[in-house]
Amino acid sequence: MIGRLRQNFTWLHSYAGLVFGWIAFGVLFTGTLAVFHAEINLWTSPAAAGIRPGADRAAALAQARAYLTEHDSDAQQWRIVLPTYREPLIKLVVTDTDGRSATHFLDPVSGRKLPVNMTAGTFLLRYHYMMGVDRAKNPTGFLIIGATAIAMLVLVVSGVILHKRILRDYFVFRPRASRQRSWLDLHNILSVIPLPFHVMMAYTGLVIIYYAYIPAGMHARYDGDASAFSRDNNLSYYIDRDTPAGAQADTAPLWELVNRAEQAWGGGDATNIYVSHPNRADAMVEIWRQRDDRISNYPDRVTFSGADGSLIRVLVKRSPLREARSFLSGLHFIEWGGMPARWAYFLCGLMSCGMVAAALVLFVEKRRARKGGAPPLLSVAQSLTVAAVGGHLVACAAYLGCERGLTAIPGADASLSGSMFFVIWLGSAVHAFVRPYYAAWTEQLVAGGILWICLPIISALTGTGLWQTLQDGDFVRAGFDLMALCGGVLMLLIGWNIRSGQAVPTVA
Amino acid sequence: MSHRGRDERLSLPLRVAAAILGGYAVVYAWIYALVLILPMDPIEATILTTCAGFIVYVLIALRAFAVTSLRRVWGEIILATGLPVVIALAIQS
Repeated sequence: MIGRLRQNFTWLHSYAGLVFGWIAFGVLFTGTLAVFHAEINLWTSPAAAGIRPGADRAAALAQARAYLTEHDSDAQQWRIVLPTYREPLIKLVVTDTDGRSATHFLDPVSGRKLPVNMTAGTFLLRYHYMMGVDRAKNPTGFLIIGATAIAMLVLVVSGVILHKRILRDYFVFRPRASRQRSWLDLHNILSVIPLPFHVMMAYTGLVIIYYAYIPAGMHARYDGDASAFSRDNNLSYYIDRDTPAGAQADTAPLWELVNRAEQAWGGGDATNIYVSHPNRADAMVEIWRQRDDRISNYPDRVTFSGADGSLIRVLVKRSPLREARSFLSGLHFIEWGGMPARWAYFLCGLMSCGMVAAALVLFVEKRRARKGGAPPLLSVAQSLTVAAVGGHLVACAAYLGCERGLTAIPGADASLSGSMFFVIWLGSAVHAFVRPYYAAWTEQLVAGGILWICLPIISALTGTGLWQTLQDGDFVRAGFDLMALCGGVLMLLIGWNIRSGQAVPTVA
Repeated sequence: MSHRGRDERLSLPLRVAAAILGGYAVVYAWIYALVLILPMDPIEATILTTCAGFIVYVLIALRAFAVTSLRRVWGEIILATGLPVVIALAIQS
């Protein structure tokens, strides 16, 4: 009976791990990079290199309003994001009466519009949770990733049950043992040490947009109306992009409202200001608190009537379950905790990627070594494994290089880099099917390594080279360049090791 | 694995279906029924039941592989889906 259970769980862990591992690697890798989404945005925007944190917020808000009044006076909604330490620019999101939105970035001191788009971090995030396909248009990618999160939890439990000596093997790594044994040890170490992180991230990832994965509650009580549900879920009644605007009437001075909002929630800077129907009689101003000093991902918010500045709502406390959900989402988003927390998440995320990659390689190695010959379809599994791991390493570097390189070409179509990501990944997949297994690994790792090493070179060619950023104390951009360099060298080393016949990386 | 008979060969796909489809059906039906029953704000009820539902889904998927008798696996899933469906129909009719 126990033997049978073991057999079933072994099959479950191997094959669910294989199928969902192919999906998971790209999701985990882009998610790991997206821990630094704001920093990556700054790296892809050399035009913002001179802008440092600490600009006067009142002056920045005045600049924002002046820009919006001049260029978008009849918008349906303005969203102003004040400069913060992490994102020192003014961000403006303007939604017009047709529901289309456009984003602009301003220098917080001069009010000048900056030629930056800051989309790289968002691109990685969108790939991370919906494979780059807008879930409003087609939820397939989003749902596949939800299934992958459930599968990851199933794999964690079945893996722990299958692992006979979980405490004894905790720190066992035998890089010089048989090839299979080493990959198993590596997989175990990377799985077990950050086990709470794996479980927490898989589960909290589901909690963020819980109602879209299993929409039963929405169907039972909201007739399947997702926008009505999400409005009640977030209590966002005053962010209005739908109803037509009223007569002309100047909206109250915003900085005054910001001060009143900050008093109402008792300290902490305001960062987001939503003005629905700006300069109309039915204008609403909703101001959101910063979210980087608490775990919960639901910032306090205060709403004013725009025409006379009267207070409409102070929302600082919500029902316990909404708070619990925001706390769990916040654990996933890590707007809190500053750089130490982000680095910890980044390193754990890399371990997650390593866990999946080692598992996929182990699956293949185990079956290649079988005496009775390799099982059918193994060559397909091999190619998909290289495409899933190598393909994403290559595609992410190509994407970032393209995003940054395009900033140097005036008038270039910025959406090109997104297509670049998918084309390069597809190219890697084709390559993985054409080439023999180990050759495909070596070539993709070497290509990935070279591309990642190219990123600091592209920075240097487009204005913020490593020497300069280090001298200027611009550690965000310097940090990116250094990490890209380290990652690239690591990929070259692993690729080189595979070529010389030692399939186990020398790092663990 | 090579010694498995014909019945055994069908057993794995049926377990996979029980884990993925069966698990989703059970969790969906229970959330639907509980959101109608629970005397709470509908959003609160949905948060509670859905976030618990993710864990239940994982447990069902594991159970689909842990229980030896395949008949029992599917019997449980049909019962566990049928009950909340009856409850929901009774409330809504």
